[in-house]
Amino acid sequence: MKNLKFIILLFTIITVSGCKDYLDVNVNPNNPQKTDAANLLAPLLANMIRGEWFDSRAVGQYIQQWGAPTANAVFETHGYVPASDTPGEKWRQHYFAIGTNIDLLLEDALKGEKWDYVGVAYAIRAWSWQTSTDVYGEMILKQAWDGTRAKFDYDTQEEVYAEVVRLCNLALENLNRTDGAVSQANLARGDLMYYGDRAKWIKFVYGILAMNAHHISNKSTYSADKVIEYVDKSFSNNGDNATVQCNGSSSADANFWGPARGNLASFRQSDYIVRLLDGRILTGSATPNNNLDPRLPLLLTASGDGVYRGAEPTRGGLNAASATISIPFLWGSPSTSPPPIAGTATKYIFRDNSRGVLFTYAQTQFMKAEALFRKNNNVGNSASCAAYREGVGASLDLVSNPPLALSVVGVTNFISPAARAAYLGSAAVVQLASAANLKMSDIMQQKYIASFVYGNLETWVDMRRFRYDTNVYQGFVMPSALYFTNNGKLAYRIRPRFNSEYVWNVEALNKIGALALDYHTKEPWFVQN
Amino acid sequence: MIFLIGQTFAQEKIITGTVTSSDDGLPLPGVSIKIKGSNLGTQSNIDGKYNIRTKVGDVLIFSFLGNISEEKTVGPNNIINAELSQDAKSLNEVVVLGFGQTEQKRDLVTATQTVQGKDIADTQRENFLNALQGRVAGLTVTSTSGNPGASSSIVLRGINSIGGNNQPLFIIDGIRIDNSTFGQGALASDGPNRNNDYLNRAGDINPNDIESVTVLKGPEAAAIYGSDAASGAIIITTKKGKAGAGSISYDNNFSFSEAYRFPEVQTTYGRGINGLKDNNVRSAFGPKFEPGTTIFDNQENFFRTGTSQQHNLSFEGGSETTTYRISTQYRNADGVFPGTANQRLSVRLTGSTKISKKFTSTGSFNFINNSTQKTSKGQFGTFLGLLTWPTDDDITVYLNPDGTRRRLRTTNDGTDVDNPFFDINNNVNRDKTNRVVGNIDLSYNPLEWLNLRSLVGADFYNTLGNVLVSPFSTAAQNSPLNGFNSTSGLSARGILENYTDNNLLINGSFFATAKKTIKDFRGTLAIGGEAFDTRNDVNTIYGERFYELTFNGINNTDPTTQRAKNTITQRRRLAVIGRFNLNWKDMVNLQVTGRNDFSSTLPIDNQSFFYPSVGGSFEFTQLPMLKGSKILSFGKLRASYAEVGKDAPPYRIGTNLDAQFTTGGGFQYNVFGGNSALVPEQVKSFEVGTELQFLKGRLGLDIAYYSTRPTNQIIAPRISYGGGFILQFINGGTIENTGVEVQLTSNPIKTKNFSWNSDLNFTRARGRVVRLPADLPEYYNSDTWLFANARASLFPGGSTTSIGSFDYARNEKGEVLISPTNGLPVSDNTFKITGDRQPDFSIGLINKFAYKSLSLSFLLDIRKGGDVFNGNELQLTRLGLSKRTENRDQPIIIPGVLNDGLQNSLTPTKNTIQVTPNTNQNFYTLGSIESDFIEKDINWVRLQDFTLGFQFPKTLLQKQKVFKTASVFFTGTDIFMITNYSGADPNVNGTNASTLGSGAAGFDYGALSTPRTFSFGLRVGL
Repeated sequence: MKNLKFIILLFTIITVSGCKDYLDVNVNPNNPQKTDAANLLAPLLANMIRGEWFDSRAVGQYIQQWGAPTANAVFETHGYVPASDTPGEKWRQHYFAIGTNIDLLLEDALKGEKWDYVGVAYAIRAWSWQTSTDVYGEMILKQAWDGTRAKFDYDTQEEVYAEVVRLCNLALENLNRTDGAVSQANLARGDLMYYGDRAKWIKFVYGILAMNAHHISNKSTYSADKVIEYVDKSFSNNGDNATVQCNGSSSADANFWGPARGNLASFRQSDYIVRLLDGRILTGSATPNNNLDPRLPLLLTASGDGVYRGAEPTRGGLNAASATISIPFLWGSPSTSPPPIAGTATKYIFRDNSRGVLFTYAQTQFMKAEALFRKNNNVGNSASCAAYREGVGASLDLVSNPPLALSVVGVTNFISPAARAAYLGSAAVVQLASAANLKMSDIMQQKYIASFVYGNLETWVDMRRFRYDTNVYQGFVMPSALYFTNNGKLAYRIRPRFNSEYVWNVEALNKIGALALDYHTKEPWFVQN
Repeated sequence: MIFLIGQTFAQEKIITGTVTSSDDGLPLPGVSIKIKGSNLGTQSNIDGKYNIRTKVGDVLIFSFLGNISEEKTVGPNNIINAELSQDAKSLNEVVVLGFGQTEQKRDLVTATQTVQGKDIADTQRENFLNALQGRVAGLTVTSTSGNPGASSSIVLRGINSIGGNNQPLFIIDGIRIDNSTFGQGALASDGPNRNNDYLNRAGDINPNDIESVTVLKGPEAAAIYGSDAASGAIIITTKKGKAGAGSISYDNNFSFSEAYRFPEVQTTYGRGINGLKDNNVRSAFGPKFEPGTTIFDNQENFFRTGTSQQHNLSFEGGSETTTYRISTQYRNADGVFPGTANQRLSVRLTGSTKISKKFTSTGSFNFINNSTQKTSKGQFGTFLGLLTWPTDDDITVYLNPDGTRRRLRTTNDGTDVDNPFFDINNNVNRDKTNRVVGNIDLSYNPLEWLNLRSLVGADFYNTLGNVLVSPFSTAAQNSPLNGFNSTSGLSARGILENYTDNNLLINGSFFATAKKTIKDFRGTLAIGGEAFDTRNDVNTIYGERFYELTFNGINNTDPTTQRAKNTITQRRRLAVIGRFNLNWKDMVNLQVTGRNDFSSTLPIDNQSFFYPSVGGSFEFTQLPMLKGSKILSFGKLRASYAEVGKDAPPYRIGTNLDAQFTTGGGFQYNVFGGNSALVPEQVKSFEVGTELQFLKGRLGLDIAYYSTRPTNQIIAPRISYGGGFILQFINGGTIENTGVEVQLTSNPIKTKNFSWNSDLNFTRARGRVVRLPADLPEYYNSDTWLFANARASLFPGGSTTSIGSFDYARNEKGEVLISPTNGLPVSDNTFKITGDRQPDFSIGLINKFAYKSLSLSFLLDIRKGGDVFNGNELQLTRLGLSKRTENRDQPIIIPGVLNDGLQNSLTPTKNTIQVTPNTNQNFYTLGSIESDFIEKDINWVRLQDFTLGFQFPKTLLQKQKVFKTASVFFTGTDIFMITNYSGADPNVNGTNASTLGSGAAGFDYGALSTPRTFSFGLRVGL
């Protein structure tokens, strides 16, 4: 009995005291679950580009910037693909790829008093909310990233817009701090956008605020002064542009628009962009002038016979039958088949190691021009015209010197100063002297050109604000056949991601009417007056 | 005893021995051993051992309640073993249940069933699990394929876990062993878990080392062994050496296997598109073969006769204090599918010694070497490559005269599916396992009524795998260099992947067991604890672009293509267990257990969880008015309720970070969201049953009804991304399993020379999803999404073994919608329940005949109902190779209404569009809707095995002095199957045994059917 008591006692002691240590083996030895903020930042930036651009390929068809080689492509009919995640990448980017990674980054940054990282984190989240809600309208806001839930209710776009402002203010507050562990060298470890330059991040945040204030131009609460103020605090030249480094060593780290990724094989330049660049729209000339806009040969590619052709919405327009007149691939490659392979030297931002351009000085200048124009009762004046011309000039510079690898401002000088000056002085651009002649269509269509390839989502916001007004977007053609569930309306939003929402969150979708077959034609809040 | 002291007769001595039951060879405790004509005697202990002081010439009487008593005369030998046979079955049998402890079967409160090792070994099967099918009610074994080294999955009483493991726990001599099947997710190529197979590790066990297998199906298992036994437990008792003169036994077995069930292909039409000849496509939508075209029976020409040989050699013996047994097995099998083979070498040593009067130690050590050579399975696998080979092309000519690969397609190498001969001769797919299993069992009896017992065991294995895809092969693998997309050897210029899987399981327990009998009460109280640690460590290295085109080695790959991955999983658990059994007058029995587990995988606050069980039985034939009845010799009612908790997979409290390949590298959260609030899963089960024996055990009946209700499952379903992840670990969901199991045992004829035993096991199981976690509309296992749009999907209210697939789109009246543009039916593009793989019932029928030295036994496996997805047929149809495409000349108007907007109006447009399949192959490619290929209510009768044996009579053997015993046997397995299934074999698994949840049994796609095997051999004892 003595032995037994002893054994039981011993056993109990071992069990109780050793239990906790013995069981402490649930720390994953394969992958970390916590990491330094610097390790999280680069993938976040990479995911900003990925999310923005996966879906902008469909949006590029809505805005008729490019078209499919085949007729009646679903996005050219302003439709959507049922039971599909195309396009749904922006949703994935916002909730998953950026999603809680931001919280993890914040956790480390706040603990380590890395206020610069804290500011950057808030800036990225603000940007993600802004650009995502502009695509989706209502989104899951209050219940987002609540790991204990399986159902998530939607909030209004107005609330999301307010959240953007809140986050931008937090970002600014932290980016302005110099105490704690704030360090350019440390921020640069993960910062493939501005390499630790907080001043540029601050400008980026003001850029987001400018978007936020500007996109509600149809509302009585719109304040042109606010837009102007934000723009002035934002980018001051192309060196401030929000661009992300892409190494281009494999398809995984290549620029989204580069040949290594092959993301553009099913698109061709549109008739609209051809006509914008060859002067037919901006000068009113009936015949194309390929020598007018120096950006034309850099952005687009002529067919084998030297003529620039573009796909017309829903009509296909590949002209595949003839090698000489068939429309070449984008990428600036003259090839019509097969697509250029990885590493092929291509133009503009179509290179594998072109920087991923998200948001540019030119775009903010056009916002300012529009704000000034509106402030002046929709009549051009020298202030709005100056901003507009600044935007055109910045666009010419960007195309002349596309950002490449580590070089935020490129050095290729494809456009000579003389050609630049010639275009700015041409009939395609309103001169300062005749600022009163400036029309909304001048501002918006130059912005359209400036945003070519990288800025589809912003362009789509603009076109929706103007409700696809062909007085403003003069080359926009009503698709001859609209998607069958559209009830004759054009697309105003992208439906939430199918495999996230339409499969697993149907109840919440039903509450906001997103199950309607024409939900994608419903005007989001920012468009509404 | 006192009276003997001082007597010093020379012949006086101590006799020791073991008393066993002749029925199952298990030790019988509590047997009374008396010296005839005296009042001296003793009892056998828990291991059936006894010792008694006696003298030569005395007669020992061995008697035991319910058994025929035996008399033995003391001779010169100091060891006398006795075998008692029973007069009524199972009254006093003992079964080994918890941690090596035996228990009287009469005390059990739930259904357990024991299969004798001999019955298993007699089937001569390589994987002993396959021999259990039909032998135990409520147990279903599905073999992945008919290849050597194929995995088998085993399910007891249905699916308890929606997305987790449903395999029972395996225990050998009280110690856990690993029965996992390698999951391809650990590979650097992150395989899809369906294009390769890996042996389930219980298949390493040498069936000849098994004394008996006890299957704990119900709550009892979990009450004793805890979480891992929530889906039951397979308790294996191994053979031990017996005291007495040493013996050597040897047996062998030579077998021949033949594939005999094939999916049928048409031989009327050749390759082409829409009726036009085109030899550059694989599909057979071309014109009819020209008269005189040679048609090759490529399947027949490809298969070979599988052969195997097996040798078992064992030695055993011992003295009164020490026994030992050494057994070795070598087995080599070449499958019917060329390129498949398996070799196994097993050496096992078991020893037991009585260190002192109160202290016994037993130990065993088992080394196993197991190698398998495989071919790939599934969508781009070798088997489908064979099945879809053009019938007008001779498959045996796979090389050009100059030795280079012969192509079917001349225009596009990249899409030319491998000739299976080329595949097996150029691609490599093999693995090799070395395994050591050892255990120590120490038993100490400080007091007569008290036993302290400690068991410690270790199970270590190392598997080396090697997969090579030749630079000339179009066979495909997931490539980490290509976004984990399927990539052919040709495009990667050779793919090589090697992996090492190290697995260590350490397990120990300590129990104090007190047994007391006070007047009419017999009580047992056991208190103890268990610790368990399992660590799995997989290292993979992957490379592409071979320098030397045929050299098999990672150093032969381009270093820039090399990728490595390390996957470690560790889980630890501690448990405190208490168990109390009280029996009154052998009539009423009460059993209560409590177990508290502490698991490493749960959040710290939820690491500890307790679960109880309670059960009782009433042996009503002990009532005075029923006692001694000639008709009803035994009757018992039993009921039991148990709960069990289950922990989470390791490392899921937090979310893991994955390295990124985007510019700048870094980390990003994995798609699986962790959950710091996970609580244990809970399974509540209830069982009620009866055991009856009539006519002194000539007829026996055991009926059990059970219901289990697993709740709070831990799974990672896809949910809204709003939570931050694509798949999120959550708790939730409820399943309900109910079923009836019947065992009928009978001995209709029993004469001196002839006996006939007939046993029947009946199983009916039903599983229903009450609700899914978070009230999700559907949960599916992506591994099972093998081909087209059919998969193992669970829907609320549906069966746990549902097949979810696309179906015909229909209007509100249920009429099939037809596309107005092509006249073909429209798919609804929605996964919905289109089948249930669960059979209505299944029966195992065993008959044994013995006439003098001849014996014959056979087992029929019968199944009624249950649906099967015939993926092979769908594939063949879409390629124009199915027999159902033979009438393609017949124009057809598919009955239905046009999907023209009027389909739900009062006047839908009737379809009048005529389609001629011959010129419009879309009829078969687009028009083959998955739900059409779910074959309903599949029944089968299968002769699972038979054994004919002849034991050489003793009189014959006396003439020589070498062999003490000798016998010969002839055995067959899977000899025939009568079924209404149109495909080859409805009992295959589309993935492999590592697939979680409801698995892919009932998904017939790309797996070889089970071949029939005949074997013969001899068995001698020295």
